[in-house]
Amino acid sequence: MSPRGLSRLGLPILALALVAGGLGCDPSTTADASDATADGGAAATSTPDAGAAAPDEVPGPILPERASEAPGVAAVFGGPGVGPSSFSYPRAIAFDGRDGGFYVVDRRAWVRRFDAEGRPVSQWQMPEHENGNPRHLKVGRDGNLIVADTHYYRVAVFSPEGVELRAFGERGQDDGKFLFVTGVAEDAATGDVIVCDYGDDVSRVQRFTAEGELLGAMGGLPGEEKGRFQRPMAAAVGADGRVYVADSCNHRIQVLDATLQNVLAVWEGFRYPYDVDVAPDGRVIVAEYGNNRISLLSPDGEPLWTHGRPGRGRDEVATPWGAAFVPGGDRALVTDSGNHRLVVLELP
Amino acid sequence: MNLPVHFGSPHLLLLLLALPAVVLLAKRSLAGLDPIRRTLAVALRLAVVGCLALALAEIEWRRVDDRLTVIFVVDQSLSIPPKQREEALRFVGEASGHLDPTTDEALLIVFGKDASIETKLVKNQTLPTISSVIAPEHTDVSKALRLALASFPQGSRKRIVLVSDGNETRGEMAKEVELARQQGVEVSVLPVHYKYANEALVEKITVPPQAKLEQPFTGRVVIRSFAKTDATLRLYLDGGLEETRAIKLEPGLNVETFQWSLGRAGFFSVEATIETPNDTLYQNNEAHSFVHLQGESKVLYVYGVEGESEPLLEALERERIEVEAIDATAFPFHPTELQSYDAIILDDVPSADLTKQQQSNIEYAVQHLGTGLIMIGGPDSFGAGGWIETPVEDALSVEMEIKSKKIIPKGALAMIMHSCEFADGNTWAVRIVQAAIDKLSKKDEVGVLIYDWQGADKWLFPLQPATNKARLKALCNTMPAGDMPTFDPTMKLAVNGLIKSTATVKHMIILSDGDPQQPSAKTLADAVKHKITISTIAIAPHGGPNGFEVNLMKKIASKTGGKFYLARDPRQLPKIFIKEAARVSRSLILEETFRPRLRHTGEVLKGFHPDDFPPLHGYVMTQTGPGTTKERAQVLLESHKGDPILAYWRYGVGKSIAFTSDARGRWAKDWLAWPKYTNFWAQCVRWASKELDDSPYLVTTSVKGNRGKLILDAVDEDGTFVNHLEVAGIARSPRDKRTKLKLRQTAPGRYEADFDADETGTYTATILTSEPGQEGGESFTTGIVFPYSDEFRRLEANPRGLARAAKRTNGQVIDPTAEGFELASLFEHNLSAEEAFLEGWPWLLALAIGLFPLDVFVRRVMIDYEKHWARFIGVFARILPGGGGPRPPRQATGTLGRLMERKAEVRDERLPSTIAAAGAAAAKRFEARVAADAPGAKSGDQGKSKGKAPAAGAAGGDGGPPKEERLYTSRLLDAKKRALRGQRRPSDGDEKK
Repeated sequence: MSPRGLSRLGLPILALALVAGGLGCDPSTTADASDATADGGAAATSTPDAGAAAPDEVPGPILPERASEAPGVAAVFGGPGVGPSSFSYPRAIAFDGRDGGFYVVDRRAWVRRFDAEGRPVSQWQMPEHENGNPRHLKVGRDGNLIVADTHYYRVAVFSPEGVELRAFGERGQDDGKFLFVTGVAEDAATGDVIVCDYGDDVSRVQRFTAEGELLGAMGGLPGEEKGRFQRPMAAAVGADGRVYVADSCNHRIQVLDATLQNVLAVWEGFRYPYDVDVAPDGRVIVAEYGNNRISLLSPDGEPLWTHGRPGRGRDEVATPWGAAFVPGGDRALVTDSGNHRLVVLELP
Repeated sequence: MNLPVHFGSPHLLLLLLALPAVVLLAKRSLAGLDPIRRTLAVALRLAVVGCLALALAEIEWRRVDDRLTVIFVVDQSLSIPPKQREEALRFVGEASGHLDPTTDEALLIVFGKDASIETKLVKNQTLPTISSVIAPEHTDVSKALRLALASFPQGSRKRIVLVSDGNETRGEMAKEVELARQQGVEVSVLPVHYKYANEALVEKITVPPQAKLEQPFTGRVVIRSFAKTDATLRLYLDGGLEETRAIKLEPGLNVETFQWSLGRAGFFSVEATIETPNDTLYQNNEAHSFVHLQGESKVLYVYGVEGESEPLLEALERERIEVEAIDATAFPFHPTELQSYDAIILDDVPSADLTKQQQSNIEYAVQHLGTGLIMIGGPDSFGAGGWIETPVEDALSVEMEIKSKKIIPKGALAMIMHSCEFADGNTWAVRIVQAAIDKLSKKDEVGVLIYDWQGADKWLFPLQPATNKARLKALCNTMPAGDMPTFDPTMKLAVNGLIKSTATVKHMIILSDGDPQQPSAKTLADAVKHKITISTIAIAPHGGPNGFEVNLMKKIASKTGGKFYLARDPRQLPKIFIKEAARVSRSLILEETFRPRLRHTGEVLKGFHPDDFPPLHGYVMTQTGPGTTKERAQVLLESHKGDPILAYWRYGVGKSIAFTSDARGRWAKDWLAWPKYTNFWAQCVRWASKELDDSPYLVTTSVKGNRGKLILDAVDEDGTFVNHLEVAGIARSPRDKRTKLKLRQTAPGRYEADFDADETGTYTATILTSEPGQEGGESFTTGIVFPYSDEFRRLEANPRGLARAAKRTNGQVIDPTAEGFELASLFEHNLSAEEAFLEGWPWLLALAIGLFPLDVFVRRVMIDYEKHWARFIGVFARILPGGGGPRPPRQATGTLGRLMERKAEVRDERLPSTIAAAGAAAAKRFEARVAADAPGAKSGDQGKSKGKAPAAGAAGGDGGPPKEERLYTSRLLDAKKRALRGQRRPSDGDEKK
């Protein structure tokens, strides 16, 4: 090849190489610290160690001012990681009705508190988390946290700063005891605590006083019939005392009366509903782990609106474990667990 | 004469005499050309001829090079103590101070076993250390000298300065020295002297080559020490420390003896090492040898199930066969430990209980050491024990996979993978599923179920035959890792799939941490109803071994007849999965009552009759016969279905027997009371056991450098040579590297093979002789000891060889401490210079070739040189101040215009003959590139006219038309006319030029 011919060939090749190199070395390409496998959800395969104590930077508010009336994603916050703005498979979320602040629990057993605008305020780690981390929590009427301490077979109450105030429950199949505690809810009127648990030949909902005295129960052996459950994952108490239970492996929500004696309604059409919450106006929101979406229902259980489909994009979710109404009921906050982030939804 | 130019064949210079002849010839042949062109052409021709003549005469330019190249060749091998090695480098550094960069060049070559050019030396070079890698455990001076000789540039004077102790362990220096002398290279030497003050080394260790078991034998260790010192002597047997002794060494040779008696038979390497406080070289502190112990026959018996081996063990004991009974966990890891056994019995041992390396050692022992192998059947043996495609299967006389039956027994396996929550869970899941697939036979069915995070409980791939294992394994790589909410959907899918399958054995494996919701009672009931067994494996359950998740998973397994496993560590998983997958091959077990049929007695069953054998109640199906790899195997007993019960064959040096029923109460309960039970097993074991070697053949070995040689002398008892044997073997290094050997016959009865050894120590070699076409033969095991390099043995300088080298090449023996020694003398230009010649013929030839076409060009191509020259000048005239005006361009147009006019005129003239017109046309063709602006060109009569046209008129007054212009073309035209008319007289105006 003549020299001229070589250079004619070489220059385009060189140019191509430079372009390709520039593209390839893009550091900001898909920061997927979460696994790169085809799935979107589950395993962060490494066990992240406990992060810092209090946040040293104060990021901006998660919950923006109401920008538009259109329902949909208002904001997305977080991503995989261990810093104050990051989450590691967040699951449970609960709002403090008094000041609008909220708490998020992730898979590293960190309980993180945010203010009403969504700024991180503090965080603490569950005292015992070797066996596992709590799957659910609610803020009681006195501002304390009621935590479903799943793998320790108990319900524990903590102060907002993480001081354990009291706990009740022990492992057992009999009523009054627990296997995997998966859901808690407080009846604000009476202070009673509703607890869901499941395990070996057990799937039930129980009602206790604040001190842990058993008041009633529904369920027992798992089943598909009305009044039986298969892996109830969450409960919520409405203003009228009704109890809504996310009966996940039966793919339905069961609505019980306050005494847990009667089933008032059974709402079907979900896929592995893992969390349920009630707004002051009676609307119900459900986080569907299997359908990768959030469903909004009327007080009668009629579907009003859904959001989300499987994926990582802004309008998508991956195996969401939790959903809660922002106090007031016109917005909801969702733990988009598989995407390690929180999603703020503007509700219709 | 010292001319710069030299001729190789000066007589050919006579060719130059041809030059005048060229001129003369040219005068004739080039007459037609105009002067300029003619001169040019002649000049070119002269040049071409001249060049050719000189080239033929082999003209050469002579160059006398006053350059000097000194190459320092420095020995950096380990026989020279470190201090002296550094001093050698320092010496070279100092010498480089006398380098004159304008005329001198110097290189440094360092060598050990290899030689390498370390660097080009600059003036005042410092050499703290060397960076070349030269394998310093040997000294190869000849290689270094060879490299030096090849590294000298052409034309310079050459000197080598060799710094060495003269202790060569490889190669022969003398040959290279002679080459150097022939090439005019001076070799000066600097002998390195040293003395080891405190060195101790082990000269050798001797032990008798053969010894008897339990009888003491004596070994001796010879140690040479340079000083009086304390020392520690250690003696090793097969790598294990046997004895440590504190001894005192005197200067000179010391001998230590030891007596050992060994309780194990076999081939053992023996090693002695010495340690002294002030030792300088460690490489010579060890010596190796080997000893061969003959012992009584001993059998290694491995049982799979504890407590059921008594019948067989007692039977063998009664026959006085020595047996060592162990379970699989105690199986030896090291191949040499198998040497002490004459046979290995695997009684219902699953393959998962032995590592791949252990299985490979068994195969090696059978094939190369002659150890016997007996596999006894049971629910965990043969194919049902997962021995498919293992090295042990290769050594056995049956194949584990059944291909030839009409209804091929097959199993179906479904695997539910819920593994995402522990570290690297997904990677492990993929790996263990792939391992399980490998263990299945191609006819078995397999399927995998998962929870896909996008919401589906589904098959990753549905139940299907494992014919294309690679494809299925590749599908596993796409396994998503979803946290399964409940077992029921996937279990239902699996159960339904298994119900539909026609497999005889249906099995499911569930891997999980136990979190998912339990399956419904109906699903489990369906599984039980359709005989689907479910094994569960709990990995990292949240509640630990006592958590209820574990209970849940245990319940699933126990309800369905499967097994529960608690895996604390993912590394336990592959073994569990393989074991569970092998359960599917339970389909290979046939439990029916039958009487084994005797096909032949062979050697094994001598003395047995067909009616002797009591019934059996089950066996594992295996296969031999045409179409399998076990065609050679002989089946002595077969089942009612024609499957092998007892089959044997020879494998390499050894023999193996497969007995596919068992030897205890489960399938052979009627045999336990059989009086011939003892005889049966004793005969089997004895037949399979290693044969004693009392062969008259002799094996000897020899070692030269790092090459070992094996010689077999095959002479039989009568003293006749045994020829045409096939002799092959394996040599194993101390670090278990294996080299195949093939011994070739080199003399009557003599077979030899060589191999390279790069490790020090005892190599083991086993060879097997066989006569072509016959089975079996003699086997021999022997050892070959490769001691440490001589580099570490001699430990004194050898200056004589060096001095000889210097003398032969007129070099000096350098002694830096001597009076009057000048370092600068190394760079003295006192060597005879080499003459270099640059040959001239290529250039001259090229020039001639280039000029020749030019000559042709000049003669043939019409270029108006004058016009171009004028134009050229004109350009400069314009540029230069005061130059002439731009005359030529105007002239050009003017001339061209005139030319065209003239052309038109001529046409109008109506030439009288068409021929003339044709001639004109023809002439026009020759009107090559006439520059219209040259003064003479406008004589429009570029030949087309008859040449008689008033050229002067057409010229327009710019001086007469130059005659040269119209000459050629007009002449051509005339000639054409003449030819056509047939006339011979020259036309008018024709001038001979």
